[in-house]
Amino acid sequence: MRVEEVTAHAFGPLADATMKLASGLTVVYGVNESAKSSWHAAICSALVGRRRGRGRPSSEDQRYSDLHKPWDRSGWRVSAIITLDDGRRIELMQDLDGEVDCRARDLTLGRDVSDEIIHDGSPDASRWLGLDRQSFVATACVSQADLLLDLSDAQSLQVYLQRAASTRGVDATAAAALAAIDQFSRDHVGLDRTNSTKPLRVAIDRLELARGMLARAQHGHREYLALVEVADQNKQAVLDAGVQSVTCEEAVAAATGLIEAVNAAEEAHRTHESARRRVIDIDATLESDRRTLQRVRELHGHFGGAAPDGIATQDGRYQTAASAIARWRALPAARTLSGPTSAELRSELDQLPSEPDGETEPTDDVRLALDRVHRAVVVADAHNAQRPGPPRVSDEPMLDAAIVAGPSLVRDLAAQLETASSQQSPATADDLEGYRRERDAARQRSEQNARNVAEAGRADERARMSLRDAMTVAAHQGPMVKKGLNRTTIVAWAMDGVLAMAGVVLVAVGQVVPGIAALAVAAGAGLALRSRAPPARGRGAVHTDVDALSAAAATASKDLNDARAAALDTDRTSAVADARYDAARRAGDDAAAGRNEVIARCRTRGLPADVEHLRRLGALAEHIVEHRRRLATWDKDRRPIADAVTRADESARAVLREHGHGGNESLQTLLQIYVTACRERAFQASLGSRRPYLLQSIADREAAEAASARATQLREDAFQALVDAAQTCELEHEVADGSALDGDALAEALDAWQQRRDVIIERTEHEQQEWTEFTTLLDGATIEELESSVATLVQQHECATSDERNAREACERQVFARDERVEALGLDSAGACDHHYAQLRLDEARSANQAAQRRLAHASSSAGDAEGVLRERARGLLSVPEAEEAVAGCEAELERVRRLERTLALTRAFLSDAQDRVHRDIAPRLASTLREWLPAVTANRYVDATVDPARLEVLVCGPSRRWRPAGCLSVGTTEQIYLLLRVALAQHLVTTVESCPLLLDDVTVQADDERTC
Amino acid sequence: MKLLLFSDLHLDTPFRWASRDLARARRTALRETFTRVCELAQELEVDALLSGGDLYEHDRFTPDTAAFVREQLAQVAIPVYLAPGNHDWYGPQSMYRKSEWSPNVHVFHEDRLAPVELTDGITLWGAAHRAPANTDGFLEHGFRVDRGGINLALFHGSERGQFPYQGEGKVPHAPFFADQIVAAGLNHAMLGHFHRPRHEAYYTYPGNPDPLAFGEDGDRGAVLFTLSDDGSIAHQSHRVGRSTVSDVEIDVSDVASSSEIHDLVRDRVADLTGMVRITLVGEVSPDVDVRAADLAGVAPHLDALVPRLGGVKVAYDFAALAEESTVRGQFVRDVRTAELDEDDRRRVLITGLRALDGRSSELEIS
Repeated sequence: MRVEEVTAHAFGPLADATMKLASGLTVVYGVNESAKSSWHAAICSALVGRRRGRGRPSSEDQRYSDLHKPWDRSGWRVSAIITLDDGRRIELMQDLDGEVDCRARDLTLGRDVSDEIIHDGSPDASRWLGLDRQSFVATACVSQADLLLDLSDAQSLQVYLQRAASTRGVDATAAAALAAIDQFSRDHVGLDRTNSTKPLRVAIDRLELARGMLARAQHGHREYLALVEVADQNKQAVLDAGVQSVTCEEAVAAATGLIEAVNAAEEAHRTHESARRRVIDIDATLESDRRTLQRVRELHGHFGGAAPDGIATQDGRYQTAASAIARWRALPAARTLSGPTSAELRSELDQLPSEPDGETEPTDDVRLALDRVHRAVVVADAHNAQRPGPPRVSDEPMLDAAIVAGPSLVRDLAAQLETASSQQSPATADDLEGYRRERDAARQRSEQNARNVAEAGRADERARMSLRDAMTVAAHQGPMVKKGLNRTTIVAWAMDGVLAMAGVVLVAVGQVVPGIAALAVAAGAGLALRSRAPPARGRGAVHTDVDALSAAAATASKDLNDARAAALDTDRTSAVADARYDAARRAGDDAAAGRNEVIARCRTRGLPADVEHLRRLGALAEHIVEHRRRLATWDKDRRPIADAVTRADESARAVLREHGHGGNESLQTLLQIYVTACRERAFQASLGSRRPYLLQSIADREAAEAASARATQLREDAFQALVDAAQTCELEHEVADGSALDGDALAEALDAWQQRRDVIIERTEHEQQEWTEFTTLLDGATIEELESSVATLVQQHECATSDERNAREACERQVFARDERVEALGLDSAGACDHHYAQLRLDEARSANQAAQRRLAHASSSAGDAEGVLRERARGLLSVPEAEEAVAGCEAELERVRRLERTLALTRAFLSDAQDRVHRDIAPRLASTLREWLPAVTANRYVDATVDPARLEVLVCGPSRRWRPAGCLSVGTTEQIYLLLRVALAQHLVTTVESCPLLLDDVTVQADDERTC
Repeated sequence: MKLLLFSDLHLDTPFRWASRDLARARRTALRETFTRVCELAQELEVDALLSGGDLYEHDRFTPDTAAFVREQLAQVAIPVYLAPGNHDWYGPQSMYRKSEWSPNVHVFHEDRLAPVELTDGITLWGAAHRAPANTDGFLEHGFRVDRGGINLALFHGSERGQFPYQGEGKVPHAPFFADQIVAAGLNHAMLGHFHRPRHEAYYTYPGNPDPLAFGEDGDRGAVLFTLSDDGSIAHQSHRVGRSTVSDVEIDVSDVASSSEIHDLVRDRVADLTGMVRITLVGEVSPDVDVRAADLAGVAPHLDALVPRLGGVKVAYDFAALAEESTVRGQFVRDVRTAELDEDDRRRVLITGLRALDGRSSELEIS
């Protein structure tokens, strides 16, 4: 690439000015402030333009704009015409202000070729060189300002070139990039150590914590589900027990119903029997009254209402006898009463208890209050069951100090003490010893290589002196000497040189003894050849000798370079070993200091300086602290539960007090008293239920007894009449011999007496008897009254018959109901109708019912307990999804840090490797370029140079081979050396076949005329 | 007759991509959606409400959720039929056993299709998963209905033909083929399991009614079935989800700074609501540092803004850089030819180039 001309349309102080450049070197000169630097910047800008991008310009761009933007006009444009090595003529137009009218045009074809070199938004001609505008400015375009700036600090100049070697720009060096990656890794990743506070360890700790929480949440959820199942089973047990209880209650009810049915059937039977007897009684009375009425009617018809004549005159005794017999025979049939008497029934009625005052079973409010007490007690029992057990007893004397310090601190001290102890372990001492041996060996190799370099330097010096001598001889002897050196001698010298070189190589690779032997043989052979050389030779032989010596000198120089390279390697190895040994030793010292510090902290807190002891103390202290915390938590939770129990107990007592059962006894005792009272009242009520039946029975019985009494009274009166009649009729002997005790017999006796008297009084008597019968039958009443009495009896008979029928039907119904119950219960009808059998069934059913009630209560209690535990567990459940989300978040954070760690490690490895490879490649080239020009720019004061591949540090040496850093030389020399280095870098960085123009602004300001030329 | 079907609500499911508060809000939204389903059933005056399974997650449900579901279904006051799925499988510890359901709730608890007569001539066959996995297909073993009229099925299963369509690694719980529905004498199968809604001639997947993840599309919700007297079945989907989820792709190729990205994202999501996932694509200048964390507060009106930067490429000219004879060029060449996966390669390249550019505080690549 050649720059033909540059036009500054508007650039700094320049306006519409054109500079044509010569082929090859163009030197622009002028007085100060003649715009030389502006032209330099304009040429550079015309070639590479400016970065085009949005946003605020960088500080460097802003500074460039401040320096070179036109001072007194608008617009900021430059253009240039360049010729490429392929023959194309290109016009470059750079609109530096608006950065819109920027283009590259092929002047021959008139075609826009901007797309070939567009870079960061504008044409950049350095792209044809394989560079970009940053690298071009860094290497091929050296401004006065940069040079002056850099020359004030050789190290910054060095860094500047390192940047060029690293990025071709003005960005960070590779070493700085690696350091930045290391620092970023330390800050944003850190080490995976227990005591680290960096993101990696923090993320790991958080993930472990989150996973622990997730495990707890899942475990709690599983326990909750198991408790759900247990509660479900308990509920089912309660239901089963409830069903059994209901079944038993039904059995009790059935047995009770059976007893009631049996009792009702018996009662109905008794009622029916009573009604039947009453019918019989009325029937008998009615029959008698009907016969009496019929007889009265017959006698009334016979006598016509008037007494027969002569009757009064008849024997009064006969009348008395007839009257007595008639009364006796008119008596109704005798009636025998069975069953309990009315007095007994009244006694039974009197013994019945009165209607109870109060409830016969516990009321709902009592049950509710007691249920609340029961639930509160269950919860309290469940809570008491969770009371933490006593802590482990320990006689550890330092336990209190550990508790005061806190278990976490004790554990940290143990961990720090262990870490410090492990770093101070014998293995580390062995490693330190190994590092020391490596360091010593590396130093020995380094010293040996230094000696090899010195030896190679001396060999090289000797070869150069030989060459110089030979050249001097050749110059003096001219062509005549050239023919004096025969081919055998040349070959011998060459073999001697090869042998010396082999010796140097052997020494360099560590084969010291064979190498020195080879060098010694080579030196001896050289002396021998020198002594055998003819004193005068022809000019041709001398020239041949010069060529051979020149070759030998080149070989020696190469050997010297190889030895230097080997020395540099061993120096680097030695430095690495030194650093490793120092680092290990410092690490050991740091560990000892750390251990002492930890021990001091332990003693300050009254703790032992023993790792196991500390861990044991930490575990004990944690156990004690955890036990205290759990006990406090348990106690804190216990108080409201105990209050709830107390409140429930007081509430229950208040309810019982309202029901008349106050007192200071225990709630259970009060409840027992209350339930017993309820049961007694219930029993009293059941007994009292018989009162109506007894009253009815008493009424019936009294009626029957009254009828019976009347009949008895009539019989007694009739009997007394018989006795009186018998006495009147002089039948004392019948009375005296016991016949009088039997009315019928007495009547028969009277009959017999009458029959005897009948013979006497026949008809009169007969009539008298009938009249007497008539008057007796009327008994002072009239016939109408007797008829009315019969009619009344008929009505009574009908009522009694109806009552008897109803009683019979009722009895049949009760018997049917009883038989139905018996059949429903599957009992033997014969035995089941027995009251005692039914009572036995009832007792059995009640016993089974009580057992079922106990099972139900137990199941309810268990269900209540399980439900309480379930609710308690439900209150403390951790959220599983939230725990899973926390784990996911921590995993994502750890993955981010791990990914960053991997990326930084990979980046560092690739970058370090690239740096090594580039430095290995670039260093020899830069050194070769320096070596080529160094004698010329330093007037042969310095003849050789090396470039540190890692730091691009330049070392130079003179003929004495004393190496000095280039930065320690004079300013002019340093400037020239780094200018050469910059040119060498430009040559190295250009990747195309295009030739690279150099734009230098006052770069020789510090150089003398000779070096400038 | 009108029936309302929903499924795959997944109450108490975790949202691992969300923050703690957002995840709680999402679970609350699921509950609100369930409430909305119950309200919709009453508004539409349906004859029964059907759940196709995965109503909740057995391994995660809380007592509070159990009480909530019980109360909601008790308030519906219409018959409810629940067919447990693989996530809410029916077992001795499941919510279905624990809860004391109101009389209107019927839980199918057998691992085979069991009939319930909805009305004369219409029978609903339902089944339950009795384990979280390895449940056989309910239409296997020659199942066939034993009665006439309209026979409907309600269960949680996988129609094998849907796997390519559903994707996402769905496990084939209770698998079956569509033609088995007709072969079994069923008129229609009302199903759960697949989260993407699907309405076919003989079966319907309503899909999860409220979004569980980003990228869910389709007309999802609760499906109203109307059974005519002639035996025809019509369906209509009703949206019941309480959440709005959007996926937005934003090209950031022309931006010059991270603030412009903020502006661009803010403008694009200004009219959106709910949760928005933005995917940034395009090539950005190496000078622009794009960080997901920086976009957190861009749209405070949204419930959540979830950025993804995987589609953003940095506009380095790697080909040109690789031609350099510098450490940078060597680095680029080495990384480009190394055996790395593409994401690692991208990260290493950008990290290395930023380090060489001196951007030492921007070495973490999203």
